[in-house]
Formats: sequence, C-alpha cells, structure tokens
Amino acid sequence: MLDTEHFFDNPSDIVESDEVASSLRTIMIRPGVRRRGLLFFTTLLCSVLVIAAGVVVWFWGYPAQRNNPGFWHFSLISMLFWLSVTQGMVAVSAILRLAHASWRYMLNRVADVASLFGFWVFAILPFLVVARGRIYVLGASAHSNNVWRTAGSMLFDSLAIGTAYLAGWMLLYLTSIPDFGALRDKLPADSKKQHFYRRIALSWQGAAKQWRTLRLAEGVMVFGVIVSFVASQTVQGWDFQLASARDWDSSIFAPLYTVGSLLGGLALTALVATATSHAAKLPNLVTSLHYDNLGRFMIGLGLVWFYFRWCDYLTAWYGNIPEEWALQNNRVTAFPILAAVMVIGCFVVPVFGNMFRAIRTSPVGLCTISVCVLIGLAVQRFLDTVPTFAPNYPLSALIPSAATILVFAGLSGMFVLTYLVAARYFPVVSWWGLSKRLSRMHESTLGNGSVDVMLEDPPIWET
Amino acid sequence: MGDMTQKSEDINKDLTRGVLQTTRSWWMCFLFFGTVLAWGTGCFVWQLVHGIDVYGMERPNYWGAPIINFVYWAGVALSGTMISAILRLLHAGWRRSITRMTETLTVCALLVAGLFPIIHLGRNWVFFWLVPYPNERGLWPNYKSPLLWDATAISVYLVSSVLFWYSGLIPDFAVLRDRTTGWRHELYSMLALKWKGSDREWKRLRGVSAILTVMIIPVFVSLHTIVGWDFGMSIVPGWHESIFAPYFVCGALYSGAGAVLVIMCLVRRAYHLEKYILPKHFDNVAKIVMTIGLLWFYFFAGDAWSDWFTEDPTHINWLVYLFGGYKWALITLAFFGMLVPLVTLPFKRLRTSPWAMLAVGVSVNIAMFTERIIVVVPEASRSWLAWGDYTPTWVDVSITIGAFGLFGFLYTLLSKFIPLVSLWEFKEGEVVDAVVTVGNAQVPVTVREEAIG
Repeated sequence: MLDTEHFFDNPSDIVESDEVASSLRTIMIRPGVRRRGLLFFTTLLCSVLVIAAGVVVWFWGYPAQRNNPGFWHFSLISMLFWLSVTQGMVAVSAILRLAHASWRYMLNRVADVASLFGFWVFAILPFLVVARGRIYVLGASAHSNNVWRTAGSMLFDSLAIGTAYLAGWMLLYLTSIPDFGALRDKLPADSKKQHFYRRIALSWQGAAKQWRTLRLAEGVMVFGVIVSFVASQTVQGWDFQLASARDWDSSIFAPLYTVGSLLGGLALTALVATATSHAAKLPNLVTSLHYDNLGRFMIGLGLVWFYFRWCDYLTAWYGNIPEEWALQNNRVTAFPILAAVMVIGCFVVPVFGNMFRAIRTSPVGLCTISVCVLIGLAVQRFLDTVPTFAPNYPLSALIPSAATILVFAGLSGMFVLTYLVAARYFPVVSWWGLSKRLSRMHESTLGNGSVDVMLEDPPIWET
Repeated sequence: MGDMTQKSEDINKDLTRGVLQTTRSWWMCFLFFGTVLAWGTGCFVWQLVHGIDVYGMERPNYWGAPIINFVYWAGVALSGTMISAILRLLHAGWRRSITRMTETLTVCALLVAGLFPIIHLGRNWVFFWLVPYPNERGLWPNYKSPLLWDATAISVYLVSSVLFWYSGLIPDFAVLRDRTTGWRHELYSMLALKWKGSDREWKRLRGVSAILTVMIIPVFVSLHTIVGWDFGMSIVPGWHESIFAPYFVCGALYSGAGAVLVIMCLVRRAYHLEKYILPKHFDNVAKIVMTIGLLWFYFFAGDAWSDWFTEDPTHINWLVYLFGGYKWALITLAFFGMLVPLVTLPFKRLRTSPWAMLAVGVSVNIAMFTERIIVVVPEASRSWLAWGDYTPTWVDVSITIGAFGLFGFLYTLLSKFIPLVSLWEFKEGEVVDAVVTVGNAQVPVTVREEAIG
C-alpha cells in the first residue's frame, strides 16, 4: 500500500515503494550513448548537421547575405522558428501547471528541457543576424536599412528572448533539484559526479518544508515563464509590426506570433514526449489521456491562430490600400502552394484532424498532426518575411538554397542534440513527477470497503 | 428523502420569491428606470423631429454617442452568455447560481445595443431597408456594408441568446405554472410547453442545451468581431487595424465580465440570495475579470504602441490628439481599467467581498465606456480629409442615460417574470455533491456531469 501522504509531502519517497520502483527501474539514471544503436546514430547525424551548418554560416554566411537575400531571410527564419517553438514548449508546460492540469506531470520536464535550446540560440543568433564580419554592429545604435526606424528592435529582441530562456532555465533547474538529490544519493560516495550533484542539489533532503518552498518557487517561476514568454513572442512580432513596411505594419502580428508559438510548442511537446517514451522504453509514459488533452488544446489554438490570420488578411483585402494589399496578396498569389500548406498545417489539420477522438488519442495520429503543424508554422515564418521583400529582389533570390536548407537541418539537429546531451546529465522525464503520476490514482481502504482515490495537489496559485 | 423534498421546497420558495411577491423597492426601481427611459425616448423623438443634427456629430465625427453606446452595450451583452456557455462547456460546478442572471443580462443589453445602429441612422424610419425583402424597385441591401453585418450579427446573437436563455427556463416556468393562478398561470403554462419533468424531456433539454452551448460560442465571437470590423475595415487612420476584431472581443468580455460582477452583487442584495450566490462565485468571476483585463491591456497597448513607434504620419495623428485633447479619457481608462482592478483583484479577501467586487465591476465599466469614446472619437477627429472636434450635446448625454434606463427597466421587468437563479440547475448542483457510505466510512463524492459532445 502506498503512503499517500508522501504524494504531498515527499513524492520522491514513493519512488522507493514497490509499486513505483519497478516502473522506474526501466528508466536509465544516465542514459549513455553507446557506439551503436539508434541513439548513437541520431547523435552522430545531428552533430554532423550542426557542424556543417556552422561551417556554412561561418565561411559562407556574409558573402551569401550580400549576394542573396534569401540566405539571410531563410536562415534567420529557421532560427526564429526553433526559438519560437522551444519557448512555446516551456510556456505550454507553465500553462499546464497554472491551469492545475492533473495529467501534466509527465510532460512538464520533457517540455522544460526545451529551454536549454536557448544556449544554441545565444551562440548562433548573432551570426545569423549580422554575420561574423559585422558582428560589432550588435553593440552599436546606428542601424539604418530603411526597415526599422530606430535601432531598438535588436536590443528588445535580445532582452526579451534572453529573459524568456532565463526564466525557462530557472524553472527547469528548480524543478530538477529533487532529482539531482536522488542522483547524488544513488552515485558512489565521494566520486566526482556525486560531488557535482551534491553541489547542484543544494542540500536537498526531501523535507516537507523543502517541498513547500520548491512549490512556492515553482509557482513564482510559472508566472515568470508565462510573462517572459508573452513578452518574447510579442517583441518578435513587433520586429515586423513596428516596421514601417506596409503589410508588416499589422498590429495583429504580436498576438499571432504568441499563439503560433504556443501551437508549435504543443505540437513539439507531443512529438518529444512520444520519442522519449520510445527511447526510455516506457510505452505507458504518455497515455491516450495525454494525447487526448493535447489534441483538444491544439483545436483551440488552431482556431485562434486562424482567427488572427484571417483578421490580418481580411483587413488588408477590405481596406484595399494599394501598397498594403499588394504585399498581402503577394503571399497568396506568388506563393500559392506555401500559403495552402500554411493554412492546412496550422488550421485545417490540427482543428479538423483533432476533432476525431480516434485520431487525437493515437500516438501516430497526433504525431502526424504535430508534424503538419510544425511545417505550417515554419512556412508561416517564410511567408511573413519573404513576400515583403519580393518586389525588391528576383524571386529566385528568395527561394531557399541548399545552403539555407542545410542551416535549417543544422538547427533541427541542435534541437535533437539538446535532449540527447541533457539526458546524459539528468532525467529528461521527471522522477518525482513520474512517481506522482503513478501514485495519483490508486485503491484505498475506507472503513470496510475499498475505493479508487485520486489525489490532487492544491492549485499553484494557492502556494 | 424527506429532507431532500423539504430542501427542494425551500429552494423553490427562496428563488421564486422575487417573481411571486412584489416589493416596494421593486416598484421604486421600476418607476426610476421607467422615468429615465421615458426621458431617453423623448430625446429620440426629438431627434426624429429635428434630424440627426441634434447630436454633436460634425464631420469628420459622424458616429459619436450612438456608436459609442452601441459598442459599449454590445460588449456588455457579450459576457453574459459567454460566461454561461463556457462554464457549461468546462463543467464548472459553481456556475449554477449565476448562469440565469448573466443570460438575462445578455438579452437586456443586446436589446439596448440593437437599437443604436437604428438610432444613428439619418433616416431612422427606413431602418427596415437593412432587411433583404423583395420590393418593387428591386433594391437590395449592400452586403459589403459593415452596417448590414452588424444587423445580421446582432439578430443572430439575439435569437441564439434568447433560445439559449429560454430553453433553460422551461423547467422553471413549469414550477411557476404550478404555483400561480389566473393570467400568470396561463402565461407560464404556455411558456412551459407542457413540461412534466419526464426522463425523455430532460434528455431532450440536455441535448438542446449542449447544441446551443457549442453553437453560441462562435456566434458571440462573430458579433464583436464584426463590431471591430466596423472600424477595422475602414481606411480611417487609427481604425484600419488588423488587431481590432480580437481587441474588441476582449474589450467586450472585459466590460461584460465587470457587468456580471455588478449584477451578481445587486441581485444578491435585492433578493436576499446570500445562500445561493457565495463568495466563491465572486472570487471565480473576479479571476476571469483579471485574466481578461490583462489580455485586453495587451491588445490595447500593442495597438497604440505600434502606431506610436512607427511614427507613420497616417497613424500618429489620432495618438497625438489622444495624448492632447483626450488626455482625460486616457487617464480615466488607465485608472479605472487597469489600476483599480490590478490593486484589488490579486487579493482573495477583496475578491470574495461582494461590495468590493461591485466597485471593481463599476470601475471596469467606467473604463470600458471611456475606451469606447477613445476608439470612436479621436481617430475620426483626425481623419484624412478634415480635422474637427466632437462636443456632445444634451441629446447625446440623454440618450446615453436613456440606454442605462432601458437596460435597468428591462432587467427589472424580467426579474418579475423569471427566477434570476435557475431552480433546476441549482438543485442539480446540490445533488451532484453528496456524502456516501463506503464500508463504515462516510466519503464525500462528486458526480461528474456527462461531457458535452
């Protein structure tokens, strides 16, 4: 029989109970990458892609930007896409905590780890924005390419994106402390690794007071993550919205980007959670309940995304201001296939596909929908950016080249590597979260009878 | 079983008291709002006689008080049914005490809002030209006109809201039918549609309620989207904004949720419903108000910020005017719309206090009425071709006061005919939370509602 009090006081203690320990044994403490097998080849492939993309950006970046604006746009769009969806994952995790979703435990850590992608962003973004030859302009104020009227956007971007990732890192670290404590206790005494985990576990003993403090800190950081996420995506939307270029000067860009980011975060969370459950060989890690709820959430966000996109389009169409409509129309007439892919990926598939319970509750169904959503969002980044420049450049200069596609692949490799590297140092599936999930519903004796009991944490705002 | 019957009888007695007994305070309210309404109606007649010039509308300000009132009341109408429908969809158990009064709020506010597009017309008496009816001159409404969109959206929302409201009233009409005599008995017999409370009837009622709950959500979003498009589809600088539709939906929800707080507090006090409308109801609605308020501010600030930052000459003038001549409106908006809610709503003690929430509800509505002024006047005052100022006349002020009178009159009148807390829904809520015996232990249980869809 589980000691249910530990659900609230010290969930890690439940890990030691027989019912839970048997499940947890299958999760590797430190999943190593052997020199064979799928994980090894995935790591190898991602590393090669990252190095190749880095070589392209380093040696070819600046001349390509000068001669081919498509390089600059597409590479930067690729980065903004990955930045957006990784921040979206952390925000989804925070929203599930705030909404007191009782099914969230398994998804929180999986989604929070995406914040580590921020390290890649800070390493590579400066090179994609200005290229190494002119990296110094990031610190300067004079920036007049006749798009931004002041030099503010770059600074706002750096601050907002940095704050959002910082909040994500803090949330990830705080909620990982109990697992660091468990790692410290499981490793050989006085080893270097044990010393390392002892330091980062911050004297964690699992006392009830520590859990309460952790819960309070988690609550504070949840608000911090949501606010900084909205600020970050808003500022990225403002990169367009605050420009004087017609069609970018659309006041709906900030909320459109915020909602798109959440939609992408949701899709990527579904994919990563599924991949993690396969890699950890725990098929029950993500259940049909998770898929069902993620699918429902996706329906709502898909509808809101379409509502915003439609308002943007219709306002330009009905207003019929020539320069505004010409650019808005260019998105559809010059890139009809991409426009269709965007709408199908971001609206039709997630909304109508998820309306069928059989589809949204199956891993294959929801993962297929998620891939469509991510494709749609990536295309949206392209369509929001490139058609605006189309009148000034030949279309051939704006079509992605092999080099730019390689950069996108490299950035995708970075995302996968983020998880593979993180899994070397701490559980990407929260142990204490897992123990809470496993102990949340169980049979309990009351009087002479037995009933199914479901335990719930108090809402985070009551901490 | 005996306890249950007695409890049910007590609920019937408490919740139908307002319908079956007429107090002096009810008459005072009725006469007060009736007088205000009569004054407003008189002013409208004055407009019919003397023409649209009686308003302070001069080019380029051609909308003025009637459209400010229209947008405001359409907003108030939005939240009543929205709160009821969304809470039903989410199975929020606490909704049962407040759904009826919020749905009634929607019906009354929408009737007020629907009058203003007609009031603002130059020739009000031909408003029926908006209806696509066959006529000998072959005239047909211009479907490209946002005015027609308004008429369509309001009609659809009014019909949907009345259906939603009425379907939930049927079992309560049956209760009133069985407790009244004379013409009232006849009236309620007709309205109750021979309701007997059989399983089949309940099943059908639930089916209809589920369908209407899901269908009314896109309807209310479309209503205020179209109100936003009245502005957004124009090319007037400051109005031609892609964000206007969601921004208007958000603003409408904000004012409407504030109005719900006001109605909850007043109905609770007027009909002594302290047992039924609890502090937790104020707490939950206040949380909704706070969330929507933050979202509304996000849209408002994002819109103004992008116009200010780009310094586009076609966009900046209305902001310059706003920060100049309409500074008082901006300060009012910031104080009542952001400061007051933000300093009160984070505190649970205040959120659970009915009178504090009444103050917040009033504050939010002052702010949102001011926001409608900000949306309608400064942009039109600094348009492409001409610049001008808008000074409301006594007729503008009178029809605005008359609108509040009409709303109060309708709500007071309806409260005489329908219970403002749903009897059957409240009783259902009492049953789903119960204590059952398992072995030798008493276990509190909650019966989960069947999910809609």
